[in-house]
Amino acid sequence: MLTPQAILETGSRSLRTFQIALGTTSHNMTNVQTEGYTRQRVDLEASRPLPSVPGQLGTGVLPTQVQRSRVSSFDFVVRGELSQFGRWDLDREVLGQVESIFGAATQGSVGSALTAYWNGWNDVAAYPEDLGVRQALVERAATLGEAFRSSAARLDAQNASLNQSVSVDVDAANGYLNEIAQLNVAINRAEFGGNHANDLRDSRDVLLDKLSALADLNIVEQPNGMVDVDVGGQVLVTGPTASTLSAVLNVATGHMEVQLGGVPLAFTSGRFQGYSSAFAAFDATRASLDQHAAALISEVNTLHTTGFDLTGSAAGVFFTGTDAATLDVSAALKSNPALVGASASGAPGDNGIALQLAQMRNTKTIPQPPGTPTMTLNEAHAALVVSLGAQSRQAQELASVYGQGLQSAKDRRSAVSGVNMDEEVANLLSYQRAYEASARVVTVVDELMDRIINHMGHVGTA
Amino acid sequence: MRISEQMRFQHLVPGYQELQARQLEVQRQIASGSRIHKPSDDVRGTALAQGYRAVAAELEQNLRNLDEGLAWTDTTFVGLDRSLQSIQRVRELAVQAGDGTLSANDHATMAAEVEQLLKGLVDAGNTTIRGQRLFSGARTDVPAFTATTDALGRILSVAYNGDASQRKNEVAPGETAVFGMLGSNETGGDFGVFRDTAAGVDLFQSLIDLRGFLETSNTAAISGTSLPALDDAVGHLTLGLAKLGGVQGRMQASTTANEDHLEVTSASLSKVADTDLASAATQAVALDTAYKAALAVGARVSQISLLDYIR
Repeated sequence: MLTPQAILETGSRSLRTFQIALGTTSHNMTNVQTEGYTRQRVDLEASRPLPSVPGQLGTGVLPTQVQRSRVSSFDFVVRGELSQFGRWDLDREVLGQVESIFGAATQGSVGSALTAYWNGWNDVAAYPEDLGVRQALVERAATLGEAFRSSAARLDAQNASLNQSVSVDVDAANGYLNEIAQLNVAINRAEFGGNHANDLRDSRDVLLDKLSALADLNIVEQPNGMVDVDVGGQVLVTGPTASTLSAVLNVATGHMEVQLGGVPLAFTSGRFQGYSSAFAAFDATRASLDQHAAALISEVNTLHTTGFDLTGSAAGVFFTGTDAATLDVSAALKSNPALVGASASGAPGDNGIALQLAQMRNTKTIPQPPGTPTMTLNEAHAALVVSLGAQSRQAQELASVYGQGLQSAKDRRSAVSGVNMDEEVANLLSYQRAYEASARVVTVVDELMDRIINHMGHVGTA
Repeated sequence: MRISEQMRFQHLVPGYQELQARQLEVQRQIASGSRIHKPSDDVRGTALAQGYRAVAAELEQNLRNLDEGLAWTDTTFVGLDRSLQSIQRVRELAVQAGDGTLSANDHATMAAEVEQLLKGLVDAGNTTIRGQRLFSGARTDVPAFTATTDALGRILSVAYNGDASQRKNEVAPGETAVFGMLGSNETGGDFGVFRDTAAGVDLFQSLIDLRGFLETSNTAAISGTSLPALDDAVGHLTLGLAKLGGVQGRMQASTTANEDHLEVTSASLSKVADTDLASAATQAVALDTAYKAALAVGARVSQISLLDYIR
């Protein structure tokens, strides 16, 4: 037997329930553009029935839990893609900057300066007696030195800015690790007794996403709601405790390393792995540049010192320096182009050395690793530029591939977790109607009570 | 598939950016005229263009070398031609002097003219281009020939100050053309213009001898020694002119070959490195249309909602 009071209780419980449902719907609607927000839904359940003679009597509705619509395997896929994209996106950016140092064929690049330099020797060969063409040759050689030095300097500057960037990323990672550890504690506390810390978990998932772009993480959720994070077995977060990464300059390589407790960490993807491959590309480019400069210096000087200057004296060195950063024309030649050793015999009209130096453009002076033929300086420099271009192209393509993969993984996750406004509006309407109906129940019970209290037991009265 | 509000916009914005980036790229190609901005735009094209550019630069330089070389041979030709005319005039004098009807006075006048022609010949031997002596080999800073004179200013002997190095320069990749001619081959070399020890020709000595014979009215020697020597001299200079013509012919052939090669190389380079304006302009229009369509779709995407249909 259900009393009016019991029915009133059913109605008011229903009102409370749909208030919660409406509240959750409005929470979803207002967070439609919040990063990492997972839509929440209220699970409804019929409340415990009353035993009764005709059968159990229902007592209305109860909210059992408010929980996130989230599939953890989608997070796993998104984080894997984030990690790969982070690596290649960084390489795309860095290699794009490195290749722009060398350009396709722009004026002032090492390639065009090299060609102008060879031509300078040809001009000297045409008129070895002419101080003007000698001066022009010295200027072109100085331009070539400048091109080598500025390329090397710009590579070094890129390296320094990349080192800076590693520090910034390490600081960011430490911030994420700390917040994750703090959220671990907060979630553990909030979920004590079977609750769902939906919004705290959203915040932690956003941080885990951001951290995944930096490094390839292993994320394990413990039964107590906390997550443990490690990279290749090196623990970064365990429960309430976060480790601190440090960015340390490796003096031997000149590159910044990410270390944990003094030991360099090895990454297989993420921006931190991107840095490693970018540094490797820097080193290879810088080494090639140095090799080209050293070959130019030694080959030219060897030949030049066998020649004679305009006064018939034995010529000195043409280039000074040992590598790309130091290559320059000898100061003596800069102030007196008559000292250029164009002559093989000592006679001022002889162009033997100038001619040989001009023809060095077709001499294969750059030894390549076994299996590939040796190259001329122009070919070797072109090969360097082309190889940078190919690496940059590869990074662009892979960044695009992983970018698309990331987008589709995010779409799949968002299809489950994202807010759809039409859906929420529909829910809003249905919850509103349910709320109105519950209110009507309360009104009906009120009328029943009114009948009993105010209108019963008055037979025959006025 | 369920669509979330964020998904709609997540696809729109990168789409706009992609289209804008491609528009910018095409605009840059049109504005700069060059198809490849950085090596990764077209790796193979960059490699090809680098090769073509190096070849083109070398060919252009070779063409400049050939121009300089041809200027050198043109001036050499002037020197040789002047000398040949002088020698021919001397030979006329020798023929006249040899017939034995002229007086000693006439011979003395002729001797004076031969002396003048001899001086002219020494000057021809010291012909310069841009201040450099053509016939001195590599010793372009010193006159090829210096004359020793007696108290009366008569040339007694002519000495060669040059060396055996002939002017040469690169005319094609790895190919050198020798275009300089030596005044004398007494220090080496296969041909001396004014004095050739191998051919037994010495223009100066022949004129000095003739002058001596004229001064002594030795008509027998004039006919017997000077005339054959002068005939040899004319033949020798003619041979020199022929050799020079051969050198010029080869250099002109090299010029033509280089120009052809350069034209082909430039065309190939242009094909790889230059923007094809017609196709770039078409692409720009197509991208513009695509961008407008994308913007229109984006503006409409959030216009319709269930909210429009409820009170």
